[in-house]
Amino acid sequence: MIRFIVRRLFSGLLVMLLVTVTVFFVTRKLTDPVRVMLPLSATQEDYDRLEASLGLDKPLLQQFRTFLGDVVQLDFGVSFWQGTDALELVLDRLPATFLLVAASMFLAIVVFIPLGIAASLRPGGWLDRVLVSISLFGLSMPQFWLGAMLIWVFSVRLGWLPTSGSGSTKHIILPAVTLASTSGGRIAQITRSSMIDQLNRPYVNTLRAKGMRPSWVLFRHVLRNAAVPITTLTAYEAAFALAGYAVIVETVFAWPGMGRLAIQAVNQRDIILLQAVVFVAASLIVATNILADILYKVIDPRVRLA
Amino acid sequence: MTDTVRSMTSPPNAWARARRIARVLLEDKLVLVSFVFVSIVVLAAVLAPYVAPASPSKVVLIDRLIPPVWGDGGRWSNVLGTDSLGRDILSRLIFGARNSLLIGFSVVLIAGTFGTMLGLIAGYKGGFADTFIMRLADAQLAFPGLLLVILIISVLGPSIPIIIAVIAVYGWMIFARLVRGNVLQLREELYVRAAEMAGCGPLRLMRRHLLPNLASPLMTQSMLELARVILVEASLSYLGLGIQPPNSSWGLMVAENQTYLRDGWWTVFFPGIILVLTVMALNLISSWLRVRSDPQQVDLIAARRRSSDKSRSGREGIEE
Repeated sequence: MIRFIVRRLFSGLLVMLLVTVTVFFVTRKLTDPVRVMLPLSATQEDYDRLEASLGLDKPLLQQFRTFLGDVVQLDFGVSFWQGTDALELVLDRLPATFLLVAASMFLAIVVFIPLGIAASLRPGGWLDRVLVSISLFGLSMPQFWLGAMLIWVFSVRLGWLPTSGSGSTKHIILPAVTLASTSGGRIAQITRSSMIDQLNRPYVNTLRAKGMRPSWVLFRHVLRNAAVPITTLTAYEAAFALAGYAVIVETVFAWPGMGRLAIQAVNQRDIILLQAVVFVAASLIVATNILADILYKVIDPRVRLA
Repeated sequence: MTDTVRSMTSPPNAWARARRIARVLLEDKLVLVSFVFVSIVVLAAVLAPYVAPASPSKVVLIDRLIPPVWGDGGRWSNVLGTDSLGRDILSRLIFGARNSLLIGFSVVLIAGTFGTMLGLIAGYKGGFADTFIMRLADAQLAFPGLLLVILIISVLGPSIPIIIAVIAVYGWMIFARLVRGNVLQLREELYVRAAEMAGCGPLRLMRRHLLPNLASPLMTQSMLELARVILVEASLSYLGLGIQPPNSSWGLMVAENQTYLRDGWWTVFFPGIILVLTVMALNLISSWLRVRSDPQQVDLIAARRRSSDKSRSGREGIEE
């Protein structure tokens, strides 16, 4: 187990190194970050000053060494736009994103897993067909459009919920529903298919023949066996949402999370802040993936440690 | 695998093949509708300058926010109404389809080609090449994809070639994995081993024996990817990092008009619903292709058709 965790941590580090190299290459080599950040009216003096303060006048290899050292020490520099520590700005926004992702995952789990289970009991039945169509619709729906339509119906026409912003429980409903639509569709589909797969196994017949109560068979045995792919996918969806896929929902509803900060950084041409967001998101996705792998092993001891 | 069976049992006649595909299509109404819908979108995109009723970027401020033709004050010259700047929605939708499909097809073509090549190498060569390529794919799958794409595009500037390149760089892995998995299986097939024994070189083996067998899973995956890329492009355009105004894109149209929801729901509704229908149709076609290429399912459908053919043969027995 410990060897397994160490190995996963190592491959996580590898991913982080790759992210670091990519970000360095993109921001230093593919463009001139100083020109991007300075206004068009900037003089050569401004240019030299900023270049020197960012250490960009040094040779490339030395720049990379400094960059790597800074990343290891979690020093991402000072945001050009806000004038404060970039990492602090990102971490300030993190709780809002966490809250949103948690709420949407809660919705997805509470609504879509039971739906998937119910549909799997009668494959081809009306509930199954309705669920398959709804999840297909959910998967095909761009989140920005679903969000806009929800705002139109529930905020503009009915006036029940606020259009955007944060602060109360009412504010989180629409963004959470929007974010849950896509991942919920996928979660319902995987729940359905892995339940159907398990229900067709011989052990189910054995248990029923023994006279075990149907609900006991379903929840004690079938669901537990079907839980592995469901848990993996749910963790994966959460990681994905945390690692930037909440950007769109946060933009639609002006939700003050990390994703919105990324878009604000883009609009302010603040590469340093954007870089910090990418690193925090990458760490989050790596950490969630490692946690999911460990969870996987705890739920199903049969999983081989690879 | 079915492809080999099919090509062995029937002469490779393109016309007969097309007719068979058409007949099978007619059996599944939903897939037929999807197919027709996607064809219309593709045609409209290709012929955009000829079929669009107006220029997509012509601003007529007095005519802003005209409702669709069935609405109060709607008119036939702007069937789906106009947006907040008085531009014709239908025309913008048609030109938007052009950008979406151009980016979608290019990305799938580029990512598919590279992914297939790398997957072939990984699956066929094995050893170090396999480990290296697959590790890279795994690492890239664990990337915060969308944020990195945002970073790269914001640094390089949002032009269509750059958007295509950046999305393609994040799309090859799925093809590489698919191809590698299939190649590992195919290599154990008797005829592949026989070909190898007979002195068939790696390149010829890949071209003559491996690639034809990969055609149908690749086709299915390409449809899924096309749907995904169209959604990514729309999202990027919505965020302001995709197609730039005054050019048109479905995602951009939603972003431009979101603030006018109260006065003109149609400005936001139509681009979104076209996007949903296109993506849904592509998903349906893809899952239909997957079912068709699954030998068990094909047998089932063939059996069903045989029994229904028998009942009909009294009337139209002359055919074939």
